[in-house]
Amino acid sequence: MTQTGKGYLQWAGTCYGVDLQDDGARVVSAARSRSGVRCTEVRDARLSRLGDGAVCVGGLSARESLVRWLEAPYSAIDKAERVLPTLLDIQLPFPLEDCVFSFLDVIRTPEGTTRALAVAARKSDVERKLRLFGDHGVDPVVLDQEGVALWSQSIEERPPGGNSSAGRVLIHLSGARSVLVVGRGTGILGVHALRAGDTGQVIRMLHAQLGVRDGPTPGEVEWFWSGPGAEDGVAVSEMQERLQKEWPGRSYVHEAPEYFLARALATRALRTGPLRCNLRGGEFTHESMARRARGRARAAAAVVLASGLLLCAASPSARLISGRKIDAANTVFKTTAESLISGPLGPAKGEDALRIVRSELAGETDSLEPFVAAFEPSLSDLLLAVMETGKDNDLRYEVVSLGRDRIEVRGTSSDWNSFSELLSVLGVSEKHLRRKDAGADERIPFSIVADRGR
Amino acid sequence: MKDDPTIRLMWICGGVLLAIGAVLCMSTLDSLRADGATLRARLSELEELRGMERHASRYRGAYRKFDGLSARRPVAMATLLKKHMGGQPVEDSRSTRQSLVRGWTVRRQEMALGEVSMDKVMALVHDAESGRPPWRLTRCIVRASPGGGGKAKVDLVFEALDGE
Repeated sequence: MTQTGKGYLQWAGTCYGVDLQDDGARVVSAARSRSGVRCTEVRDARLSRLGDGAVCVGGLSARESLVRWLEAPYSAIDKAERVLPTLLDIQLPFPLEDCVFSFLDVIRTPEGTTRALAVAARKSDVERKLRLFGDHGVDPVVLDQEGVALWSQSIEERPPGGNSSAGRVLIHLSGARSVLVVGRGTGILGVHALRAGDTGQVIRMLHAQLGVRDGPTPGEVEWFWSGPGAEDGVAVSEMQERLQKEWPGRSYVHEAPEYFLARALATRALRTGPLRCNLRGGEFTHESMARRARGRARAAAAVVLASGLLLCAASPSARLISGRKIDAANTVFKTTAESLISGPLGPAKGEDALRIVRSELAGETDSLEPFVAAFEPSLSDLLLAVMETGKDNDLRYEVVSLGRDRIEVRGTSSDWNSFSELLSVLGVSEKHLRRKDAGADERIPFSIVADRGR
Repeated sequence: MKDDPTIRLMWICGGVLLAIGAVLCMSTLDSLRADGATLRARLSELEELRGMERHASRYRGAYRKFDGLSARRPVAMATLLKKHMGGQPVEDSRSTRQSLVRGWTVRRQEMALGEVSMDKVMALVHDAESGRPPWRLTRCIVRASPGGGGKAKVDLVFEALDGE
C-alpha cells in the first residue's frame, strides 16, 4: 500500500510547474480548486515574466537523480529508517555525503521487513540544475524527481483498470531527457533514463523489472506515453509497434503530453498524494521554505514557551483560587456560627465550633420550647373530632383521655366495624384497637390505647 | 531551524518552564486534593450549621411572635370558668408556674369539673384557646356520667405563656 503525503506547497493556492526542455520551457499554471488542481498551460512562456513572487516547481531528471527500492531487515519502521541511509550508501556510486536524498513510501512488508523508495541526487547535479533554472529566471521552491512525478500523475489521470497487478509502463519522450518508468498496478518499480528511440533498452528494462521469465503475456502490460515526443503520433506508433512484438498490451497517450511533466510537478506540489518528493532540502532549501520552516519552528517554540509559562502560572493560580474558596467557606461558617451564639467563636473551627454552637443552642431551645409548642395543633381539635365521630358512628364513650404523649378511648359500639373513622381521627392503626363480644345490651365493648409522638 | 539562537533559546526556556510547571502541577495537584477534602468537610459542617440555624430560627421566631404581643398576659382562668360554668363549682383546681426567659413564665392550670355538659366544656376550651396569649389544652380526661344526658366528669389541663 502506498503512503500518501502532503504536497510541499500545501500552503500555496497556486504555483507554476516548470519543465525545462532543450527547446524552451513547458510551463503550467496550477490552482487548487474544490475538485482538485486545475492546470492551465502557459504557452510561449517567458519565465522571467512569471514574476518574483511566482512559486515554481521544477524537477530533476532521471539522469540527474536516481530512484531505488531499498529493503531493511526490520519490521519496525523507526528502526529501519535508521539504517536506510546506510543501505542507500551501499548502492550509490558516489559518497552519500555528496548527495541529497529522501525516502518515500516507507512501508512494512508481510515478510517482516521494511521497504522504502529512495530518491537521491548528487549535490553538484542539484546545484547545476538550480543554476540552469536560474539562467531561465526561475528559482524553483520545490525540486521533484521527474520519474516519480510522471508515475504518480499518470496514475492520477489514468488509474489502473481491474487487474491491479498488471504491468504498467510510462514512456516520457523528451529527446535526450526521455524517461522510462515501470511499475505494477499503482506501485512504481523503477525509473530509468532512456536513450531516444532505443526500444531495445525498453525491452531489456521490462524483462529486468517485470520479471516475466516465460515471456510476456498479452494484455499484461499497459503502455502510456507522454512528453513532447508523444505529440508525434507516427513516431509513437512506430515505437509501439516494435515494443508490442515483445510486450503486447493496450497503449494510451496522456492528454496534452507536451505539458504532462509540468502538470505533474505542479499538481504534486499542491495536492496530497503518494510519493511526494522535494530534493531541494538541506543547504539547497529555498528561502521561502526555510522561512516557513523557521516560522513553524518559532511557532512551535512559542507554543512550548507559552505552555510552560501557562503551566507555571496555573499552579499558583489554582492554589490561590482553592485557598480563597476555603477562606470564603471559613468566613461563611464563622459568620453563621457567631450569628447563632451570644459571643465570638474564638479560634474554634470545624467540629469544635459546631460543638460550641450546638451546646449553646441546646440551652436556648430548651427554654424556648413552650413558645414553639404553642404553635402545634391543639388537643381541643382532637377532642372535638373524637366527640363528633362518636356521634356519627353511634359510639358511646366511657373514658376519653387525650394527652400529648398518650391517648386512651374506651366505650361501646353498636357495630363491630364502625371504628375506622375514629382510628383515622386518632391517627393510630387498627392494632391498637381491642374489641370484645357484645354484652347483654348487644353493644360491643372496645378500647383504643396508644402512645403518640408529639 | 533550531540553529536559530532565538528559537533555540525559546525551546530551552520553554522546556525549562514546562519542567518547572510539571513539578509545580504535581505538587499543586496534591495540595488541591487536600484542599478539596478540607472544602468538602467545611461545606458539610456548614450544612450542619445551617440545619442548626433553621432549628434555632424556628424557636426564635416563635418567641418573637409572643414577645411582639401587645397584651402579654392570658385571660384569667377564673373569669373563663365563671363565664362558661356559671356558678357550678370546680371540684379541684391547681395552678403552677415555671420561669422561662426574659420575664416569661409558663403557667399550668389543672381543674376537675364534675357533671358538666360537654358543649360547655368545648366552649370553655375554645374561648381559652382564642385569647392572646392563648391557653392551650395539654391534657383532658372525659369520663361519661353514669346518668348520661350528655354530661361527663372532665379533667382539664391548660398551659399558657405569661409575660409578666
